[in-house]
Amino acid sequence: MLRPQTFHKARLLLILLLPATVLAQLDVLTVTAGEERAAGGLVNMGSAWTGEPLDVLFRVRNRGVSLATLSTLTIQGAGFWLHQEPGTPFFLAPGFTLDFYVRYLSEQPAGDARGALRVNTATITLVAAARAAPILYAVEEDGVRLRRAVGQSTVFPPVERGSRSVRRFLLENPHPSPVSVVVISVSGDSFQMPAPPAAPLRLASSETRSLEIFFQPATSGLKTGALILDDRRYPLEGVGREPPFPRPLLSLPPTLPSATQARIGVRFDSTSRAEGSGTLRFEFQPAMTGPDDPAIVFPATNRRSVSFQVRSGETQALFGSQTEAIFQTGTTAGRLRFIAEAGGFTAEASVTIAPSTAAIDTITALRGLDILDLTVKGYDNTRSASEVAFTFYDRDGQPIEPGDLRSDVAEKFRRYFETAPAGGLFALRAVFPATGSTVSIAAVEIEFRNQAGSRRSERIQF
Amino acid sequence: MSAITLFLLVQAAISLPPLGFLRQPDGRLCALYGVRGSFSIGEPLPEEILAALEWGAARLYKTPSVLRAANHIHEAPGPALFAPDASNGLVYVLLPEAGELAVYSPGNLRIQLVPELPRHIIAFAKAGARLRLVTRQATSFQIYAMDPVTWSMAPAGPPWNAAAATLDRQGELWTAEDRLVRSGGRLWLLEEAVLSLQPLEDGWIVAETSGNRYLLRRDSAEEYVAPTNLP
Repeated sequence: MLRPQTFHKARLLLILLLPATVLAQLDVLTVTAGEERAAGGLVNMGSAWTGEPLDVLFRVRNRGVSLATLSTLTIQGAGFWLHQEPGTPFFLAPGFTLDFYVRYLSEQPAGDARGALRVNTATITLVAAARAAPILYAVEEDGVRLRRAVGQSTVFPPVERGSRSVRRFLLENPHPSPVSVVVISVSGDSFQMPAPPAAPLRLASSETRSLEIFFQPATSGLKTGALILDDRRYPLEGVGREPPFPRPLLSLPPTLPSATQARIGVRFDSTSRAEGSGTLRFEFQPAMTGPDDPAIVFPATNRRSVSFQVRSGETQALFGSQTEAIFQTGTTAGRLRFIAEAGGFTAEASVTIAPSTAAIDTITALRGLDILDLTVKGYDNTRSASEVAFTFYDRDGQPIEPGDLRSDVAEKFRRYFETAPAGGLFALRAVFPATGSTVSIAAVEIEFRNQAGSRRSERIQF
Repeated sequence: MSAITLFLLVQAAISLPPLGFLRQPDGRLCALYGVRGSFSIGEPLPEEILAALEWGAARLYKTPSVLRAANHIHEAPGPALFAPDASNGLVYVLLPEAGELAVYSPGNLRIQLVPELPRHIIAFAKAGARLRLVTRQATSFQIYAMDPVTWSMAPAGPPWNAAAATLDRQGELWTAEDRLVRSGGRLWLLEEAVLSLQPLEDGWIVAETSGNRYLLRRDSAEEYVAPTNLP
């Protein structure tokens, strides 16, 4: 056995035998808020609440010019731990550092806890304290208690915007002496403590106190808050969800005539609790081949789709401020298929634009002395006009010779509709030479024939 | 039977003349086609065109510096107001900044100086044998009658107040006050207050509000919504 003097000599000898770089070139530092400080022989780590960790960052730096070896890194003392420590031996290149934490964690109050940190041959005394604090538990629905640490989030069940979920917490004093909590509060707009205990809250030994916290988000999305017990902050989290959209419903009559501005609304299967938007669109399947009909649109957008708003408390979608959207049936026979889409739901409804006889909208007459120039504007939703007949009347209502002036127009209309860019719309200009003055011509009846049949107009004055 | 006899020559053409031209939200004029209850928007005209009219086989349009009528070009600054006359095929074109009136007939464009034109003319139309025009100063409107032979002009009634006024192609007066549109004995109550009135062909009038452009015609109690290209 070595005597102390002998021991010192032996240790000195050992030190002399080791490479000089191993011992003298390692600095031990503490780092607080980015600032390094030489650890020295004693480090006061400060004070923590019982059950809450107190961490101090240590740094070992090789300030030499050659490789250094960290061969010993140990800690002793009740409640003291090495946290994120490297394995030893650890080799440090010149100028490099090694960081690790020393944690103090005590379940019991302690006024002057001591520990020893050993770095190779250097020993640093660690001093810390633990103040008595109650333990906070989050209580699950099945009664299981989950201990909460400062900074550790407690997640609330997600709820619809405006609805509420509740979590129960339990404060327990595990210590033999009473503990007090001076500040008990909740932060975050979406979190409330409906019945906070009177502060300061004093808990006798082994006494528990239940706390209830509501999560009631006014809007959707992730919400955060905190339960604050003195200077301890326990984060709270919850997700507010949008209520589900109501299912849209569409209804239309089975048929609509051409050249109609009709209205369509989107009803809901229940009063909406959701806020959002949807789309109403439609497709057109013409009854014949040929160019598309650009009049088959929602006039508000000049397209075959329009967006709508879903408002909480409403039973119908809103198109701007209106509950219905206007759409045009155009001048081409076929089928319109409407699709409403909102919140993942779709609804469909169809309406048939039935083939019809040609319709006349306006007649413009230009009279010359011996010629009448007539322009008839209308539509043929079958795009198949084949024959037209004009019967003119004088101011006494008598037919003008030779009565019906009938013409085969099938080829002209066929060529026109092959490229016409406006559905079944047309303007037919017909010129009528006259043997007498056209001044006496007062009215006309026009008959068009197409695939849907023939129709004679009422007598049109001009 | 009448003393005259008619013969059907041929169908001269099947075509699709526009009802007029509407300014779209992007600032460009687009042709409007349609019949009662079914309207569609055509391709936009070049940006510099201030006003346009399609009349028979001819297209007339006004740029900031030129009136073009078919193949005829006349230099004139400012806007133009068109007054087509279905009874004789003529188109009267008022050029207020130049103090001129152009008369177009197929193959011919005649320019007439009209030195005593009132200011702030907003509407112009042929009404029977006379031309009519409407002036506006703030909310005060005045209608004038013009002789198309002597070009003399006189007020055709007392001034009146309204939110908007115009003349249709037959020279009939249309006025609007708030949501109410009036022409002759006909009334239409629209969803929003009327900002302006503009004539189209076939008797149509466009009543522009803050939210829509309504198409109105004297022979229809119903109003229709004009399609509008979204920007």
